[in-house]
Amino acid sequence: MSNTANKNKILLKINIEKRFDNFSLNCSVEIPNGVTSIIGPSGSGKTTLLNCISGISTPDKGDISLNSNILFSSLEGKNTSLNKRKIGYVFQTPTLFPHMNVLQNIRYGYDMTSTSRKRIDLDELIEIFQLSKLIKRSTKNLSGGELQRVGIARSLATSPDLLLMDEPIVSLDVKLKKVILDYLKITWTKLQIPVLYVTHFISDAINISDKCLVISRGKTIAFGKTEAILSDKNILDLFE
Amino acid sequence: MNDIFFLSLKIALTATIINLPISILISWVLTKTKIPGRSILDLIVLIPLAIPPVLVGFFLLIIFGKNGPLGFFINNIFGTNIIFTWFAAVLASSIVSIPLMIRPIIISMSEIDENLEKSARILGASSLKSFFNITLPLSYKGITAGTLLGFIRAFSEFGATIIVAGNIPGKTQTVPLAIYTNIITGNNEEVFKMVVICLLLSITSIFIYSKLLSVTKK
Repeated sequence: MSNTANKNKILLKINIEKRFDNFSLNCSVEIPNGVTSIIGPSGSGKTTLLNCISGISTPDKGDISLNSNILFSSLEGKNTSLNKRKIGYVFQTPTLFPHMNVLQNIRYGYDMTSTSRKRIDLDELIEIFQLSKLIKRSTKNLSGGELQRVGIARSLATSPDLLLMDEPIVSLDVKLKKVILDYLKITWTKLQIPVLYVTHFISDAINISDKCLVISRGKTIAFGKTEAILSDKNILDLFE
Repeated sequence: MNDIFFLSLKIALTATIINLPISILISWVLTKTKIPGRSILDLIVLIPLAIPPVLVGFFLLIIFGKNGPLGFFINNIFGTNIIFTWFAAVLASSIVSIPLMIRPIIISMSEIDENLEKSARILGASSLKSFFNITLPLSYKGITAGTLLGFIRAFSEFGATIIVAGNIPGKTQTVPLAIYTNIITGNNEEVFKMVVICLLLSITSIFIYSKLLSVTKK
């Protein structure tokens, strides 16, 4: 498949409803390959959406499919277990296993991935994320930026079909943010792993993503090319 | 005295080994699952703490006695009765000590960030693998503390043991029962020796237990 065709291929189809006591998420969108940001004010449902895609939460109704594989369908009664969805997830707060060193963390998912699925070479991944000097270190002694680099590398080591990232740089300083965002770009450009990146910073979305999904109060407001969407005054007003 | 001490150790260790997997399972159910009836399970686990140990012994006698529901079954299948044997002492010690084993494990498991377990699952681990790789290793302080506390409680058990296992020298007479017997017979020298051993064992265990839990709280 040519690069353009690959980029436009529909990766993820979402049509779900998830209800809570005071809030309801209704999302219907088709997301293509590439890096897509999900942007919206705090409490708009961005994390809930990621949790439904990953399998951490179960929607009340609807369906989710990834590369034409149905992950969830209320009509068919299907709900693929989260360990079988082949999706990587980088949480806002690093979730490295404290009783394992850096290499053991990265290998945890890698060792469980079948040989036929492994598309990413572990040594290459460690080199790309500049982790060679850290591999024997305990995760307790890593800085914030190092923790997130290891977290991203660990998720990528499973050769996921999609990488979800929930505001992974929100607690980092400006310099480190740029470093992590650069690694994020490599994830798609070099490793060809599509990314769904949640943020409430417009600048991050513009910096890294081709496409942007805007959510507010649980509703899909807009979806399209990032620059076009985020230059719309009505959309920008949501963030004031 | 050595025989009495080793019998007590054998009973306490056996009770602890029986309780350990049960305690870990119950703690996991109470902290990591949403199974209905968890609050009732939590209450049931606390009952042995709330009632006098002699009542525990009494209920065991009813259940495992020759005409009791389980005693009758065991007698018919194995041709033997466990009342007034060392295994009856194990059952008694096991029941009175299990609440003390479970509490520290619950504390440890509750303190594990649930995103760690979610991460393991998302990386491809089954629930069981995530339990053995993540939950269990990260709860080791609570498990160790609970095991120590449970062991020392089992070692010190008196009330339930005397009812269901009796105080038979060489067969079911544990250190606490021997202390009791020697106090009654005025054998103060033996009493003193056994009291010192019990105190040393208890204080050492409590000291280690408090160290483990204070590190956990940091």
